[in-house]
Amino acid sequence: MATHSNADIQVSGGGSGVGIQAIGAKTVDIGMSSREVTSAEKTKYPDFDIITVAHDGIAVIVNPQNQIQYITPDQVKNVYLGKVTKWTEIGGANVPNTNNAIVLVGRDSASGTRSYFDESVLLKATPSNKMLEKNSNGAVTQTIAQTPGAIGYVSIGYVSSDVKAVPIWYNADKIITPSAATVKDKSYPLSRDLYIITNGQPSGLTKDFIDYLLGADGQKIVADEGYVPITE
Amino acid sequence: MDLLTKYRTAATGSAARFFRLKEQAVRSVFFCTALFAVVVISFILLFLLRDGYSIFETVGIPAFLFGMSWTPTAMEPAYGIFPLIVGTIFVTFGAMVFAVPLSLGCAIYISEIASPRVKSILKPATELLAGIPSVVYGFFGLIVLTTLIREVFNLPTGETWLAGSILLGIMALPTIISVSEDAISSVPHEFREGSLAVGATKWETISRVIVPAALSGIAAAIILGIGRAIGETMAVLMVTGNAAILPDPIWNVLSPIRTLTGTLGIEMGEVSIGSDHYHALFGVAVVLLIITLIVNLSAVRILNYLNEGRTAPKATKKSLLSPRAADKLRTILTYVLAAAGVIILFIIAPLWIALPLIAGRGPVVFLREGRGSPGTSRKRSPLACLSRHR
Repeated sequence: MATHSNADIQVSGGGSGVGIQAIGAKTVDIGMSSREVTSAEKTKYPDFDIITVAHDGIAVIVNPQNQIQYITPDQVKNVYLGKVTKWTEIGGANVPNTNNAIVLVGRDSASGTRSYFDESVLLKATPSNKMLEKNSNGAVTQTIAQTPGAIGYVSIGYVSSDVKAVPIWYNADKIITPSAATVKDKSYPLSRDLYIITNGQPSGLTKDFIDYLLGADGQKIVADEGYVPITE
Repeated sequence: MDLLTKYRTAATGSAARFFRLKEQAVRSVFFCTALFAVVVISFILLFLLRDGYSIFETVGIPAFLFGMSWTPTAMEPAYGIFPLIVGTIFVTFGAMVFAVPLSLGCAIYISEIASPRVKSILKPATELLAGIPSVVYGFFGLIVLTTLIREVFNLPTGETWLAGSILLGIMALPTIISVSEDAISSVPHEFREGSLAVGATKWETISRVIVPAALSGIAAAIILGIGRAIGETMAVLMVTGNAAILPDPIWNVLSPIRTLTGTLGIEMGEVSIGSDHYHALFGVAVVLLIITLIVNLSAVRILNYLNEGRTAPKATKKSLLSPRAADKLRTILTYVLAAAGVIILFIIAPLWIALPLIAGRGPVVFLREGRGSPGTSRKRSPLACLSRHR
C-alpha cells in the first residue's frame, strides 16, 4: 500500500459467490460480498464474521433519449414481469424515432445485484424470460447507453453521464432521486449493504486493514467511488 | 543388417541386455506421454459427473434435458435446459451457414486463383484473424455489430441470434480456411493438369475435380470450425442477449437467445457453492461435453463414409457403423479403459510398485494387441483412394 509500505494487499475479483467460498475455504484472509450470506452458507461456514463496509443503492436507469421523468415502484415491477411492453403505457415516457418497445436488461441469475432487485422490487417474482442478461454492472450500463428503448438496474456507483437514473415516484410530494445522499439518509428505498467477511475475529494485518477501511481514510475512498460511507 | 536384428542375434551378454532395457525405457516414456491426453479427458469427465450427477437425481434426466424454463433463482427453481441446447445448436448452425461458403471460397481463391504476391498477403492475414482473443471479438460485437443490426433491421435491440452467429462465423473462418486451403493445395497437380488437358475450364476443374478430391480435408475443416463455434463462451455471452427462450417463431434470427456455454460463463462466477444451482451448472457442463463428443464421433463416421464412398462399389449396403469406424471406436474404448486401469492401479498400490509395473507391462501389452488386430484403420489421404480407384 502507498501509505503503509510494509503491507502487501492483493485483490482479486469473481463475484459474491467466489468471495464467500474463498473465505470459507480459507484460501484468502478477507472475502467480499455484495449480497447477504445465505443460511446454507452460514451453516457450512459457521465461523464467519460479517462486517458492513459501505452502503449501496440500486438505481433504475434508462437511455438519455427516453423522455421519462419518474417511475413508480409498481411500474418497474410490471415492466420487469413482462406485463408492460411499451413505453407509451407509462406516463411521461416516450422514446422518439423508435416504436417505443421496452428492452429489458438485467443481470445473470447468480448476481447479488439481481437477487436484491428481485426480492425488493419484484417481491420475489420471476422476471420475464425475455429479459436480456448481462454479467456485470458495467455491461448493463453499456447496453443502456447504446440502446434507446432500454431499461436496467445498476449499483449507483455505475451511474454515469451516458445513462439517466430515473427518480422513484411515490406521490406528488415524494419523488426520490437515487444518489449517495438519499441512500445515506435512508429515503431511497432500494439500498443494500456491502460486506467484508473474515473467518473468526480478525487479527494482525487483517485487523489493521479492516480498521483502515472502516476509518476516515477508507470511508473517504468509498465516498469518492460513488458509494455511501457507513460513518458520517 | 538392421539394428533390431543385430540386437536379437546377440541373445546373451550384458550389452544386449542394456540395449533391450533402453528400448523398453524409451517405449514406456512415449507410452506415458501418449496416455496423458486420455487420462486428462477421463479426469475431466469424472469430476464433472461427480459434481453434476446430483442434479440428475433431484430433477430427473428428462425434466433436465427437455424442461422449457431455466430459472434457478425463482421462488420455485426450474432447471430445464432445452432452450439452452436449442440455442447452442441454432447459433452453431447459423455460424456454419455464414462461415462455410465464405471460407470455402477464400480457401479456393488462396490456393487456386491468387497470384503468389496476393497469397503472401492473404495467408498471414487469415492466420492473424485466428490469433485475436475471443473477448476482443465479443467487445467488437457488442459495440459495433449489435448497433448495426439494431439500426439495419429497425429492432429494439441488436442482441440477437444473428449477431451471435455472425460473430461465431467470423471466429471459425480462419480455422476452416487454413485447413481447407491445406487440403486443396495437397491435391496433386496431375489432377489439375489432366483436367485442363482434356479441355475443362478452370472453374470446371475446381468444382468437379479438385474440390471433390479434397472433400475429406474440407469436411475435417468444417468439423473443426463447428467444434470452435460450439465451445465459444465469452463472445457469445456478450452479443446474444442471454434470454433463455425459444425463438418465436422458431426461425426468427432476430430473437435473443442463450447458449449452454453462455450460461456457464455468466453464472459460474457468483453461484453459491454446493447449492442446487451449482450442481445444475455442472449438469450443463456434462451435457456440453456429451454434445462435443457426439460431434467428434459423427465426424469420424462422416470422414470414414467419405473415404469409403470412393473405394466401395455402389451396391454395398452401409451398416450403422462402418467396420473402420467400429475399429476406431474399439481402439478409443480400449485406451479409456487402460487409463481407468492405470488410475485405479495408482490408487490401490503405492507409487513405487505401480510405476514400474505399468512401464514394464503396458507398452508390451498394447503393442502386441495393435499388431494382432485385423483391419486396423490407417489414415489414408483422399488422393491415394482416387489413384487406387483409377
